[in-house]
Amino acid sequence: MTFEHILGLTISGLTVGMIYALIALGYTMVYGVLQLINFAHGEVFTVGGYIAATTLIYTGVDATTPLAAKIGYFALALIVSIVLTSFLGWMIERVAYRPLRKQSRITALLSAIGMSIVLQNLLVIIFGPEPIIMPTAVVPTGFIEVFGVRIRLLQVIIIVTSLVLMGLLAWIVKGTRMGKAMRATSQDMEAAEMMGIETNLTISFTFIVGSALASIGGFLVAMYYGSLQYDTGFLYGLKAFTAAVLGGIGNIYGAVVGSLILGLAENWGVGVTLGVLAWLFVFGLIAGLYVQILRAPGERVSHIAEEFRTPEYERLIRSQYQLAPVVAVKTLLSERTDALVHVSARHAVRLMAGNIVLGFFAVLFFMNGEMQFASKWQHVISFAVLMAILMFRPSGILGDNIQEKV
Amino acid sequence: MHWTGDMRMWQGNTRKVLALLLALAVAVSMFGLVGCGDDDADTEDTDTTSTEGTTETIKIGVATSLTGGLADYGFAAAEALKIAAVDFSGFEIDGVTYEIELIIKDDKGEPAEAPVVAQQLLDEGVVAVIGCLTSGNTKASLPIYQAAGIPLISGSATRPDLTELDFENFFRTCLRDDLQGAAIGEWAVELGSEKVVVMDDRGDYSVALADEVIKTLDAAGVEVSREEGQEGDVDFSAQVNNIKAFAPDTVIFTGYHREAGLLFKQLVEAGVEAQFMGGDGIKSNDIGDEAGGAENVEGALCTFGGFAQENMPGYTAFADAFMAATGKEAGPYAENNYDALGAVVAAMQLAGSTEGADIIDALHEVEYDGVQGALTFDSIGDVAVPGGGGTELIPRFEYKSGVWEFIE
Repeated sequence: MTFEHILGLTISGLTVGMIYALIALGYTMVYGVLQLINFAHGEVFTVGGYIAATTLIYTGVDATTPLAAKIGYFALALIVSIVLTSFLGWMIERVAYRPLRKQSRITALLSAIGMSIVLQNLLVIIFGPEPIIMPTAVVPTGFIEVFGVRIRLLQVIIIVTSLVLMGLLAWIVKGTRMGKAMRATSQDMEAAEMMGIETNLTISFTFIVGSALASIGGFLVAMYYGSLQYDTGFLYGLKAFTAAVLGGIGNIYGAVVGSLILGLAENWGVGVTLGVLAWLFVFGLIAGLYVQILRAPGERVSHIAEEFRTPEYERLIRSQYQLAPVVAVKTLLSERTDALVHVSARHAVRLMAGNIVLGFFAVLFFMNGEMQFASKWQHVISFAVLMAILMFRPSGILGDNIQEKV
Repeated sequence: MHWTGDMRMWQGNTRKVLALLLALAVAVSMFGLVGCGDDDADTEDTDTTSTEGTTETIKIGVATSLTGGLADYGFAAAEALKIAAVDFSGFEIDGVTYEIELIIKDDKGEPAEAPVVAQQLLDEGVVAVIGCLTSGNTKASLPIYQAAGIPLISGSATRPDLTELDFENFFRTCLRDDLQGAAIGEWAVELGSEKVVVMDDRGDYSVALADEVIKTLDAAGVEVSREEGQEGDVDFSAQVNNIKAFAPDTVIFTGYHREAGLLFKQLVEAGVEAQFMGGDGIKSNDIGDEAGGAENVEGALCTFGGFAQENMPGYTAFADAFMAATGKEAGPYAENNYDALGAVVAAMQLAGSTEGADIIDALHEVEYDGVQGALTFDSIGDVAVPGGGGTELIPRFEYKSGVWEFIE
């Protein structure tokens, strides 16, 4: 297990994670505003890549094209792709979701799945079943060697572009009138409308921004892998959706965090030996203990008004909210039934179970430190990470932030 | 929200119109996908009624992959069979002239689709089926054909155990992967490989071929590291990093060309300098495009699961006919599919019957002289090779500036 190997895996994981993030943002924004899972979003991503690739093929760019023209064509492809894909996103909302908005949520969900199938088949009809090949001339081929690891220029471009776009999105949501309208619509659509916000316009805008991000993602993927197939978006959509749920669906920062964790887990899980993975479990264990012993009791104490805090009362609260196995067992045996203890005990039991699982796996992995997961476990591992996190934190990693509603 | 009566009505109408439009779009797209193969099937119905009594039309099913990653193999198979259907139509049994009507169905290269396609073909009333393209699809649909007593003849399903699963109705006109796997392994050893990565895509075909390759490499004392990808994946970065850490001198990928192209591209970009090798699944000239440029695959080696075309008596004529009919070069396994239909027709003539069970019996006996030369099947349905046949039967190819070139 060399350092280069781990660094290489990390760079690949970050690149893939950033692409997931560009798609996951679209899922999570739409969910935040409409509580709708837009299953056609994966196809929007594919269409974006197809449009960019088609534009570039149409310009006839090749190795002999001068650099300035290449950059021009590149920008043209990007703009065409963003404009057309945004229009597609707007149209999907207008055609498939808006007429169903007042109906039950499952109706819109079915409409989304139908839309996804229609788009995929339209791609086959228009472009044929074989993959569309990106002209290689516009793909930057340079790389730098860092500690013996090749970092491709394109990887750097993907990571930097994604970061810039995410910063831009954060600014739009937090700093502009439209962003304010989006946040208001997501909290309460009817109240927002009563306050004079054009909710339909806001929702259209959300779809347009999400689709524009997805189209850039599609373009980057087409460049990174050199080709794109009509069904590529399905798997990417699924992964990005998973990442959005992992980070807490509806939360924009959560989507980014979830995507990076998923991307890294996919690469690390099958790339490093169990001994290295064990250290991650140890880190999780320490974080869990910190929360249980210091953070959670401390928060509970801070909830008590200053004037009621006596040292004795504080100690009592701390002892109840700390690991407290005794309290937990007593509660489970129904010896104590007061609501406060009941809640805290359940919490303690859940956290303890988490720590025991982490500790168990850490020991198991350290004992087999030289072994490695075969790469066929890749998808299993990423979904195991999802399950593990959702089991101990059902709302996702940053999921609580959307509860502004109350 | 507050709707006036007007708006409510308007919305109701829009909803109906939209629902109709969506239903239409779905119908159109489904037709576009499934309909590809049926175009020329309808035309032959007309001439059955005109010639009185002496001419009959029999339906032969074709289960292949017209969409998906293997669409080019599927195209070669379907077009070769269309040529064969024209060539073999008009054969006589007991004074009755038979015309062949092909029912071509697309299984998208997905094992989950294969049984559906099988049922559709049986519903059409086919007497025999040529297919499937991949070993996985063949395995998935064989029980259905067996239950119906319909022979299934594949031109390209090379997984070794397919003929050993007690399906008396399965035959193939290609070679087996235990032979091909051994040939790849031997070739790698010949090249002086000492550290080899063998990677599969977890499909029925790929895993079996990788197992056979590893068997040979292990016997030769070569250090082997096994990796797995997933068919349909585009990102192999985890595997690439593992391969780079292992520092092999040869990387053998036993899956299909799309994943192979992406893998080789990512290996080159990560700076892995190794000899790339593969089986018949990567023998498509598209691999250069799929790898983001032919230079990423330059010098790669592959084998094939059929006899060398250069040694086939009828191949030049067949390739010319294919070119004339489609304007494209005959793709992999085109001739094997052609021969599959030829063998079925020969078996029908031998049996003097067009019943599935009779054709199955006759296929074991039949001697058919096809594009590949004289063809007979052994007791389990494999091509009987005179004298047993060794790895020298497996042709070898090298990728040179965009095409797979035959190596003598």
